[in-house]
Amino acid sequence: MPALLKIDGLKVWFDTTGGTVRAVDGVSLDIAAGESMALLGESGSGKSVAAMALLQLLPQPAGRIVAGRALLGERDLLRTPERDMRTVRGRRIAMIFQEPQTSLNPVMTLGDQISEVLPASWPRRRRRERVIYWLDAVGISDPGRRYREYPHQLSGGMKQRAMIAMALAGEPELLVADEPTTALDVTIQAQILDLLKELQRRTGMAMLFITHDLAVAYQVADRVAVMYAGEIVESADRPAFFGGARHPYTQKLFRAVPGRGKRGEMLEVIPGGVPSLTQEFRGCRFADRCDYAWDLCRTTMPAWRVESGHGVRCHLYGGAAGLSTPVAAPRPVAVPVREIGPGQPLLQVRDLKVHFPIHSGILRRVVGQVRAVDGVTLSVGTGRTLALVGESGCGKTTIGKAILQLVAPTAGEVLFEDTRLDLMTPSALRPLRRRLQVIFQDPYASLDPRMLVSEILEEGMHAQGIEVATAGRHSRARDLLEQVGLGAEALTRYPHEFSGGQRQRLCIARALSVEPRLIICDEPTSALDVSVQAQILNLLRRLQQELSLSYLFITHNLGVVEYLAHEVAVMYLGRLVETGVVHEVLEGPRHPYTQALLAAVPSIAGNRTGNAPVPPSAGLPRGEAPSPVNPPAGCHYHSRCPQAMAQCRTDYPAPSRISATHWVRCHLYPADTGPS
Amino acid sequence: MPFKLVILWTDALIYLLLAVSIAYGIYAARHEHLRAPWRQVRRNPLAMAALVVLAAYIVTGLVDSIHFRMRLDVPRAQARHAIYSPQVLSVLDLLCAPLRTHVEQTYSAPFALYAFTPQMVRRPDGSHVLEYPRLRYAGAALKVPGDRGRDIAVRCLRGAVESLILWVAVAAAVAYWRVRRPGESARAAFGRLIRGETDTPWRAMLASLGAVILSVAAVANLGGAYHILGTDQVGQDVLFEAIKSIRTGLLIGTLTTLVMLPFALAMGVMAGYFGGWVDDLIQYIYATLSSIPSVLLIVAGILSLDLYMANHAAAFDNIAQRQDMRLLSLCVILGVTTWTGLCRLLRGETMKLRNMDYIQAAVALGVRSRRIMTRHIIPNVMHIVLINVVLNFSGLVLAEAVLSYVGVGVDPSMNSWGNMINGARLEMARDPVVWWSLAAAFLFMFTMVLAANLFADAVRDAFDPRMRK
Amino acid sequence: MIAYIIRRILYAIPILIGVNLLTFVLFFLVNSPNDMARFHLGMKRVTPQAIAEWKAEHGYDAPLLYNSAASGVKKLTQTIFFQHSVKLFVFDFGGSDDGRDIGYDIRQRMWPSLAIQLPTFVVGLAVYISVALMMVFFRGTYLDTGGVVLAVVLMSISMLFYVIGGQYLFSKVLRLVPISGYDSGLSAIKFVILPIAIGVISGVGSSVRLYRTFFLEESGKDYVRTARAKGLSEIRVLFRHVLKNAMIPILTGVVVVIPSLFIGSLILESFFGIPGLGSYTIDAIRSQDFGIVHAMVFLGSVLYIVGLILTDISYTLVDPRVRLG
Repeated sequence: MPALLKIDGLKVWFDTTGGTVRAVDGVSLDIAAGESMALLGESGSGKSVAAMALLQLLPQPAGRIVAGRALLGERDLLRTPERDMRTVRGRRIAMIFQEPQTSLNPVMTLGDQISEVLPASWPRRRRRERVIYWLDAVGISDPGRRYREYPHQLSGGMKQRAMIAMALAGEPELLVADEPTTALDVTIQAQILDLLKELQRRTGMAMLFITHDLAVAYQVADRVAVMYAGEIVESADRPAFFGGARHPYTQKLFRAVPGRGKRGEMLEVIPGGVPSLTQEFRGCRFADRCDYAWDLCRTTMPAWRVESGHGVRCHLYGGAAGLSTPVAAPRPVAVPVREIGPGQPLLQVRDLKVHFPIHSGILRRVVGQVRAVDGVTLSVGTGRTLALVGESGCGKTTIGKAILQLVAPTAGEVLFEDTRLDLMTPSALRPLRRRLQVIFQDPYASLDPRMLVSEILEEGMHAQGIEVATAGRHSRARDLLEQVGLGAEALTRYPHEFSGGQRQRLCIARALSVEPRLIICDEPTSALDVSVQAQILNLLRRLQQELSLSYLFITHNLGVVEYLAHEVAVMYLGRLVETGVVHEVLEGPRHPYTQALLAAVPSIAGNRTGNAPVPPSAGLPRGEAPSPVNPPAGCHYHSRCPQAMAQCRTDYPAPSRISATHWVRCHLYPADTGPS
Repeated sequence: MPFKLVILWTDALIYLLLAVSIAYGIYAARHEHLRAPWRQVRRNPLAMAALVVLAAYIVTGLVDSIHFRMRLDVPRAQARHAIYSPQVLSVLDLLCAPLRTHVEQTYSAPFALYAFTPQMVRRPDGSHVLEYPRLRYAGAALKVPGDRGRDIAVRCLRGAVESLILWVAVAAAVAYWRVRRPGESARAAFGRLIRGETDTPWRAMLASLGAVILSVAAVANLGGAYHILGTDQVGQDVLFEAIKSIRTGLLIGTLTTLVMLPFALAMGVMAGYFGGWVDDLIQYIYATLSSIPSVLLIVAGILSLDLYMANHAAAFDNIAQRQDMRLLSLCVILGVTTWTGLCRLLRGETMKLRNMDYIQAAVALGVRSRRIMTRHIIPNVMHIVLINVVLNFSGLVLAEAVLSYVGVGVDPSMNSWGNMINGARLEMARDPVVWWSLAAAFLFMFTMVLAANLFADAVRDAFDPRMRK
Repeated sequence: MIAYIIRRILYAIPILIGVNLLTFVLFFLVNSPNDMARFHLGMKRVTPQAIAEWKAEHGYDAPLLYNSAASGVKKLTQTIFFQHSVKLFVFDFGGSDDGRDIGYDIRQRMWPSLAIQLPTFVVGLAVYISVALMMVFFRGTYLDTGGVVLAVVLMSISMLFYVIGGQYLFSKVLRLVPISGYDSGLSAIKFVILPIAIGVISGVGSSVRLYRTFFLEESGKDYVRTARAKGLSEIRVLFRHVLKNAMIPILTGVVVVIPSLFIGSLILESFFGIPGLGSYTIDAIRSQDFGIVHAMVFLGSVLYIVGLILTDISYTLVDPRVRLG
């Protein structure tokens, strides 16, 4: 196939106060017409920068294109003057972005925003018809009304659909999609991926799909290119790539993804972090983190070698060895997983409700409630992990905060070691706080930027009266750092000097500083790259076994659940719909919502022979989750459930027992009057 | 002792402020998160040049804030105790003694030898003629008035030579002590400095220092012999008035902030952190205060104060004390009108911080509220306070002039740019106009405000996270 | 929306009570009416009789808060607090210390104030926004940098300088307009044109700089990147996308002052001899007339609160996300 876009030796540098960052350092890539190319890489690999450079949308004046060509037909995009770029942007190459929330203009109607892409010479009516056509094509219902609506009136998934409509309205030859599903829930992600593939098939456009997620790349791509530290290290057709990745970095990425198959072993980690891009590299950029690296790797830059369409940049495949001998994967390190029995519950939550009032009217009377948490019962045993799974807005984070008494519960009981936390005064609660701790999602927001690491670690000890003497606190802080795999030199540094993964280690150390029994982990790895996520998951598991910690692990990532959890509770709109031991729920999900969640997770099909992936759309829920202000009557899920019956619209289902440990709330199963 | 130290309230406060600033400097030097933005300020040539000018103003103001009363020479036999003059002087008054004491009859133009207004003079023959009398002090050393041009040129030249010597000495010292790298020759270091190849923009700083030195040398050489900027209605040297007004401007700009800062910080942080009725109450207070247009609130406050002082005249008999109390009250009233803005900002920021994960983590660790506020929240809102302080400064200096014009500024007898403008504005109707008082006041005020604005800009750029791109 | 406005008006009442209490404390508790009388009559040798007469003449002869000598409701109404503070709520401003009807004066004098302030406001806003937009359009060039430096220089100049310098240059040297004065109807134009120009110029530095940062902040946002990726021209991006969003922070600071335009500018009116409320206030200050100052403080607060409500309403016009309720 002839190449639609030919990128050759693209270099993009950023001038910062810390020096020149070589964000993209010699990227070459061809995209054929109608082809779907996935550009895969972790954060900071330069994948988005490369895409922005194509459209000359780099942040000015910091970013500059230093070298390279990007030929779209005869035109070199990198040297096209701004005036002519306007005929390329939106018309020949369109782009959609990661954050639908901020990428649409909040004060313009959708119709106006999409019309802007269409030729100004068209009469108003023709443009309007065209916009409505595209709104309809991306699956936005009632497009005539939506035409006049503003972005805030749409849900996140709808906004991303509108973005896609805007991109496609210009009928581009190439669509650049920059992590278009990363900010979305997994069920919505599946819908959007389906939509993109469907539209691509209909319009015949090419797609450059930027992602960090191997499974998403597997779902959408014809070809995959992997970026690392500003350059492409491997590129191949999808079957070849998923059938046998060659670069040690790619191989490691595959093995770092958590999942059930890896439950009994430590996850493969990539030690260290991405090297600073301000330096000029002499050898292979991955050498410092590579298990196979030898002298040559540190002194000579590996060349790009291609054999039958599979390119790789690694010395392993040089010389006589040829590409046909992939390096054998190292044997995974098995760790004995000490499964602790259910035993005595450490934390019990009974019928917990957290409602936030909505005020309105002249006197600010309460006119409604946001039922963030609406009657949740769960328990966590000593030394065990309960995973609380649900999509954004389902109330899972609120449960965590209510247990910690960071928000006041509206009703229900929180029992910790037989103490009712919800009844205690703030001062009586203070000494108990050392028993249960928390780790948050965003490692950049959870450490005070103005405090030294030593101050951060010693704050809890000071507040709880552990180690009253300064010297004792210091030595304990050093021990904690060692426990989470950081050196003592970290004590005198500030949080901003650490990477995301290291910061999350610091958060864990801070939680451990007061010797808790239970840690509430609120999505602790979802802001991290896969390779770093593996490090944190390994650490959490090791600590659990060493210290008999219990975790309430709040997450939306089922792969993490499969790897780490003992029990699972699935949450939808403030209520639990299914609970059980991890293998029961994940292997035999009963609730249609759980089934949908599992179906929506993009996966790399078990066989790596490279067959086309099964479209995941089967069994996907319709639409998006309703608002917790007005949850649907009856079963909350009936509005999206493909199997909804008349009864579901009126009655909230009672719990049904599937096994001694497995409960589900769904009318498909006979109700059980046993204890819930 | 030949003198008795007098510490006015504002003197005490300005030295307190100086101490606070020094303490902040030491604190900032030890904390990387403060050192880094200040380093960025230090690299900004315009800001550092402005800082040199600002420093000259500040030093003048500080020297003018050491007050004392001289001992009167009374024959020893008559005085059991030492008797001190009722006049309160400052160190600056001593340094500028010629400027202060060379008081003419009335208006005279810059560098004039004769008065601006003609006077009836009685001739020896008994007839009366209208003539421009010779000034008492200006050009007194001249033998013939025609020598004035040459005399001024000679004095200027001397000033220029003196300042050049001083400037070269300072530049060499900077090159040797601050710029020179180990093993580098002083000459090479000096070369780098002149070419502007230093991390800290020494060249820009030395340039503006040169301007400052040149001005001081000009005043030192010419000020005693002429009235460089003329004299005002009562014959007072206008340059001296403008210099004395520096202290007033500085005090208004800084003390107002110092007075209101503790309230704004405590109230804003408490409202944002506790929420609930504490928030409602504090919001009510600042909504009430900010709903009164600030000029009118100041008017109301000052009028009330005027009345109080008029009815309690006995307590304010000393003119220096009266001026001082009026100045301090003005600062307090200005503070009342400006704290609401900062308080609102801090409340909003605290509410944002309160929900930050690291605050939640501290609560989960069992850290007490007071400690969370002092250890987490206040350090994380200090950049807002700092930006607010530096941005407010120039606005307050400008406001003083307007308020003095309106009649609710500092004491009418106090030296201030506002009073100078207010006094001279009516003379614009004269023909030819008496422009020098206005020009002097505007020039001095403009220089300080511009320097402050340039410096404040750099501080804001360095500290405001939104400005970082 | 209606409910919201009603609620805001109800919320304004405690604030206005607070304003009243504050002025009451400032005017009558810090200094007693006796002090005030003595002050107005001159300090030396004032007989108690003269004081009593002055107080009776100006309505300061009642007790401050509670009149035990009166009967019934009059116990509360025959007080200085009621007569001088509470009556303000029905816009009964009473008489000034030299016996004029303040309410009448205000109604007469607000129109000349408005004749200066309204054009200043409208022209100023248009000029500031256009200049700031132009600087953002040329951002990163010398035009922008030079513009920023010029803005800092302009905002470092005292307003008094603009007034005195402008008056000197245009009225005295060039003799283009009269130095001061006012006339009714269209003939006022020659009197108001210079104050309006000076009003606009004196604000140009700070406003342009502020609006420029608003525009810059908006133009760094994601939706602007989307607009550029659509292939829109830079002009269109600025006018269709950035300007509309930046209007939200601009309105915050701008709409609130609209009602207060009635109050006029103290400086401009006194320099140019405009018989508006600004010069009224200045005259009151110079003659230390507490009645007028008291009335102006109350009026100013009321107008400010109206401005706040207008600000909120204006948000609903530019920001579809805002729903008042």
